[in-house]
Amino acid sequence: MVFSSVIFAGLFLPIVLGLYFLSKNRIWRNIVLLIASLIFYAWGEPKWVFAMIGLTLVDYVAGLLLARIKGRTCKKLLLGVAIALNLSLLFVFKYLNFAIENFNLLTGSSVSAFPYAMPIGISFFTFQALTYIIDIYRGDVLPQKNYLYVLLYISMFPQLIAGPIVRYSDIAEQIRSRNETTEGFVNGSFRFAIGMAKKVIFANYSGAVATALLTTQYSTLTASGAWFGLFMYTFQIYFDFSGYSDMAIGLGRIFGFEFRENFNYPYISRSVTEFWRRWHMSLSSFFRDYVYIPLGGNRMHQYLNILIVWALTGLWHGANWNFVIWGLYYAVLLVAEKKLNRLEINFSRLPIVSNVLLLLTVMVGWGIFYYTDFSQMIGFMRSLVGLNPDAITMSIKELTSSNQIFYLIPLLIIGVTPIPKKIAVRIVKKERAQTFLKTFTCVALLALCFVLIMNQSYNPFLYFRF
Amino acid sequence: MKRTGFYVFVIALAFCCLFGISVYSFWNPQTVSTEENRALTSMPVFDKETWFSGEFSQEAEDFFSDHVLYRSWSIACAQEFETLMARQSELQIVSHDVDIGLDIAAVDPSAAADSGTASDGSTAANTTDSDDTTADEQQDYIILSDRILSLYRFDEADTWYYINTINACFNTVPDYINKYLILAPSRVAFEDAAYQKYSSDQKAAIDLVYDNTDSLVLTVDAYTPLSEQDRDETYFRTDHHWSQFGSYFAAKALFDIAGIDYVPIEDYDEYEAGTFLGFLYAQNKAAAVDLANYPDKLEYYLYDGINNNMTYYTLGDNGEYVEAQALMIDPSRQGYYTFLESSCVYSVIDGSQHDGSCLLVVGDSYADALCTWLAQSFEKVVVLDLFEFEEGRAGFVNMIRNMDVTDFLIINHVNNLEHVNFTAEIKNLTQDAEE
Repeated sequence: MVFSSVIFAGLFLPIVLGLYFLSKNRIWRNIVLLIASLIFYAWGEPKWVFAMIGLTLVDYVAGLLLARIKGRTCKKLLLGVAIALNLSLLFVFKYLNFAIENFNLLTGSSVSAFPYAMPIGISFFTFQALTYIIDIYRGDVLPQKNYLYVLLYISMFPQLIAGPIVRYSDIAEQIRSRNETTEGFVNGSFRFAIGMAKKVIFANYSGAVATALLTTQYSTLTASGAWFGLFMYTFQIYFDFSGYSDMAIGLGRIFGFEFRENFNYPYISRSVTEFWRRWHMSLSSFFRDYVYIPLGGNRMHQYLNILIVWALTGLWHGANWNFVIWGLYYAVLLVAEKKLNRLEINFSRLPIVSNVLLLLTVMVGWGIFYYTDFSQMIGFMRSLVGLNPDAITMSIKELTSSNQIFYLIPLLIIGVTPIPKKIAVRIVKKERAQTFLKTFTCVALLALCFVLIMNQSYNPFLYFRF
Repeated sequence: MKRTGFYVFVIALAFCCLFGISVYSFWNPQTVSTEENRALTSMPVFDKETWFSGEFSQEAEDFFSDHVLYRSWSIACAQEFETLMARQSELQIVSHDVDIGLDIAAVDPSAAADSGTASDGSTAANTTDSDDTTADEQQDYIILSDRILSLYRFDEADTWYYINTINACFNTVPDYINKYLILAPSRVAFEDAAYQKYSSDQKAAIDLVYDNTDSLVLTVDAYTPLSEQDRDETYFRTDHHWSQFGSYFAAKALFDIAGIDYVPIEDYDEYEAGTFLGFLYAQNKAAAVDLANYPDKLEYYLYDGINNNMTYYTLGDNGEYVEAQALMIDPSRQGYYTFLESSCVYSVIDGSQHDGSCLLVVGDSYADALCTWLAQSFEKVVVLDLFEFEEGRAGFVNMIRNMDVTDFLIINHVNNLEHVNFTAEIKNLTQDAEE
């Protein structure tokens, strides 16, 4: 079920909100949330909801055992088994076909492909499950004794499918006791509406132009068309993913949860390092805390660690070589940036230049990210540098593509910066006025998005496929 | 706190409104959307199979999306919003999904009267079964201030699929029957070079097909005579079809090559049937604002005041054919629908000859206008709807035999070479029907 759909915004959410707030105590409210979450997931993955429930049971048992076992070796062994079980499910659904494909290619054999499609959101909930058992192993949190609460943590519908990756330590306490406040309801609804607008207005319209240029016409693009398409995709992926995160965080707030932020205006960054501190923060911090630091972090063979982490980050996004290349592309950039910093060459001292350079770098990265087909990627890169021999007549098409969202482009540009928020805060200083503004904006955006959804075809969030 | 409570109430009220609007879906009887020229999704059956296959959830989402309260109004607003975002320019090129095989009028006759639009499908394009609707292809359009052009994109594989399919179809037809093929060019082929360059070469595509068509088939060159005419006379500006006047030149080319007597257009009387905004306009309303006030004129021709009768057959609930009567040309059907009643599985036009000749026509909606000329030269013209006919090869052969068919024609416009669903429907005539 997509957040930006009639069935979610018009039926599922109002019903869940009604039942939730009509329930009198925490237990009943958690039960409502759990059942809603399972229905939400089963709606999209009627078969694999049981796999998720089973995986959660494994983690629940592993968590209890980890807290009881005293021996360090036994603990390590158990943790290893639990991690292997979690990752094996992820591997089978997400990477097995990739492995088979490459094996067949290398050996000339014809091993048949795994016949099942990847369950939606498996990368996200597997990583959440990993944080649960690893944090227990580390002694950062106590195991949850109630299985249903572990299931609620893993399956909670606001962040189940596309994050942010919520750590158990962040919400363990909130599951048991949290306060749903009227301010939380208003702020959460406002955040949800903002996220929906990001998706339905900004992401979908820029995405339509991006798709027209990058998918349908990629082989006949001129350099300007290729850059414009990439420009639109750069907006699309940001508004799509950050929109989903906003909706997840907003929904969480309505139900009394405080999820960590996932985006912090990444396109205003001045370096690659800063970009990744602002983009998909929950994933970056996951890899930092659970892979990079255990590998030795900055203390030993730092560059190798960076390489491993970014190859994994790439692979996390998808089982395709382009994602690995995309990850390694950032690894190289980060290593280069660190080298330059050591030589005291720091572009971030030049505000506009560094930002433009960073954006161009990120855009090229999205070009690699976009094409899972190598021949398409190479064809597109040729267009990007103006080496496409077929790019003669498409310039008007590119121009007219931009005409379709001409008056939206300035809003897209401003929308990726903190300017709107700063203006709003500066103009509306009183809390009461802020609440009024948020309520009015929320209702207006919900209505507008609902109207626009009618005219848009099925448009899932980009990060659903990860 | 009290104040915040008020704001919570306002937001909760907004969610309640969304709930009410969505829940209305259960009582909404609408089955088609004239704005989008498509049938609306019906509520799926809930059972173990549909649930675990994911079919139920997918279709239920579509159902709610299709049936919410104020949907038509919402779509109009959304299109207005899109117009606000767009900068109008002299030339725009846009892409849309194309619905193959759906005709709103067939599902809801009142809808056609409202919209006056035609579908991009076939003669054919008419159906009473919404399951047959598939938005399967992208179609590019050039939008100009006074007209819209649907572009043609050559695809070698699709063209060869078409060639092999029509050859198989012609081979299904006994050799004692005269066989013809007409590939009708679309308007953009005759536009100025400035616009033609966005479209593939139609003449080359037609030649490729004709050069590889079975040698027993007479291929009819409609391109050359049409290229000698004024495109504003031979084609519509807001619709993707040729006019009845335009189709005359294809008919004449067929008569000439087949040696069939015909009545020249000079002997016909011309009538005016008002104006209409066609399918191309309906597809591009948001971008083609100027065209709303510049509809197409519809003119039609009758020889000696004769408007032939036609009998058309639809499938009843019990699977038996239901027969009905109509006039071949009827301006009350509006727009391009004026030519032939096409909401049926097949129709039989009573021609003006009495020589036992019977022409069987399969193809797309370009056949509709064309058949009005052919009716004067045959005793019977049978028009088969590819998308509705489900009897496969056996039924097709039976029809040829039972109708005493003497001539067989496949006619479609060039764009359908790339619409594999259309070709697949022709292929169905050469294969056993599914149970």
